[in-house]
Amino acid sequence: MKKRGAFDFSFSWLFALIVGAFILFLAIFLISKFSGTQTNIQDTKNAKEISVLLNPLETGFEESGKTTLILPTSSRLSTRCLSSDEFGRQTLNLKSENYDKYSDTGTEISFNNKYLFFEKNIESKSFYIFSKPFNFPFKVATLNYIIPTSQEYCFVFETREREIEEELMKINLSNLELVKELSECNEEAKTVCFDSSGCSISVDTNDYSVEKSNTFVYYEGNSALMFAAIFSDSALYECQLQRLLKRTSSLSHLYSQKYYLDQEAGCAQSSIIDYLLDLEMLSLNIDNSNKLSELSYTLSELENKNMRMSCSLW
Amino acid sequence: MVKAQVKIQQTAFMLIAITLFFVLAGLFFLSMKMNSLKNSATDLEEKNAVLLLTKLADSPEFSCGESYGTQKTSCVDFAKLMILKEEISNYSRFWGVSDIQILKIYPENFEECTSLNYPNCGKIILFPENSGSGTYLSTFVSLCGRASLSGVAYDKCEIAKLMVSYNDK
Repeated sequence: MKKRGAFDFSFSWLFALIVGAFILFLAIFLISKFSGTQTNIQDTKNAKEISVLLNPLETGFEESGKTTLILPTSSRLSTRCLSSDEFGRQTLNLKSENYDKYSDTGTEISFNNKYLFFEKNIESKSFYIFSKPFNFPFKVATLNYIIPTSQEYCFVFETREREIEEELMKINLSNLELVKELSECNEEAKTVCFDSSGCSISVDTNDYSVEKSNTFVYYEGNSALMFAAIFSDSALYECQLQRLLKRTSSLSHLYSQKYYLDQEAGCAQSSIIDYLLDLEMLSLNIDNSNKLSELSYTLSELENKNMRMSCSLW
Repeated sequence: MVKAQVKIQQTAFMLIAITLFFVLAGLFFLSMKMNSLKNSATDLEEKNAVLLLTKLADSPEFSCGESYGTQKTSCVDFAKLMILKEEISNYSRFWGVSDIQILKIYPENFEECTSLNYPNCGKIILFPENSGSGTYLSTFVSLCGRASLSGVAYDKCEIAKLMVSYNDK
């Protein structure tokens, strides 16, 4: 005989509890999965939009371009560079912050015709992106540099570097400071010294080198590669350089063929062709930036000869 | 006993009906989501093609640079294009679009360019295998090259249409 008011724990109750718990668990599981997928979709969309928005930054005859990228939440940008394909490729991954934690998701967006330079895993809600054409000696590509707006850079010019100073002033970013002495720099700023020591990044304009965390990388051509070395980590710089050299080689081939077409049209002969063929071959043999100086003679000869030609190639 | 069994059966049927309802609703929701995702992907492809089109003429493989006098904006080098057409297999995925074409519109000439009829032709298709597929966007450019008059070279610029196509997702 049952007591009145006692809980009747029948089979239907047990069944309802088990099924209810299962449905509840399934619902929570699906919601968490769905929200993860949504974050993944949004991060992938944002990364793709960044790559699309870089198109207007492609420089024509202008010297540089810039834009500010503002994201809905604080995000972490990371990249992978692969130099093995025809022109290599770069991938961009964006992870947005969710409850003080960066998502583990985000599909990589890959592109073959863009060159992004930035430090490893930069985090911010807004970023400055500026671009410069890389001439070697003809235009090879537009290089894009990404800096978090919260990260200050202090450029120390103890000696006069008029061209670089003017370029930095033209870029006109609020987080790039130009000073004459290291002591004038903000403590939290990354310091960049030109032909002097004591900074986190040191540029030697005689040796065409940039030292960062005891690692040296080298540059040639216009200032585009120097800025690339300053604003990115050395591994990314070396890989991107390989991609740029592959494109240089391909463009050298294009110009050498153009030389023959122009000649058929009646343009005068020039010894520029030998240097173009040299650049096409040599640029593929450079496997590290410390060998870039091997190209300097060919580059300056090409620039001079093209300027003097009646039918210039570029 | 029979009453209890009927009750369990009722509950089971109810559960199956509810599960089916949620599965169908979920499928409907997912198909809507997939559709909107496909639309976003197509929008991004279109945006990419539009923005690329405005800057493609200035990219090193296309631009005239200072080869035909001073530096010109939206100027495509005819000679470079002819060489690029021969080397296009290296550039198959380079610009992220399915096809790029140049069409001379003044003076009008629809003859497709080959090494034999260059520069007296008016149409260059860079990716012939994708020609005609996808949605085309276009912009006007000047198409400059070198021509010869009595053995003397001179610069010749004509009006052309640069077309870029992208695939709908």
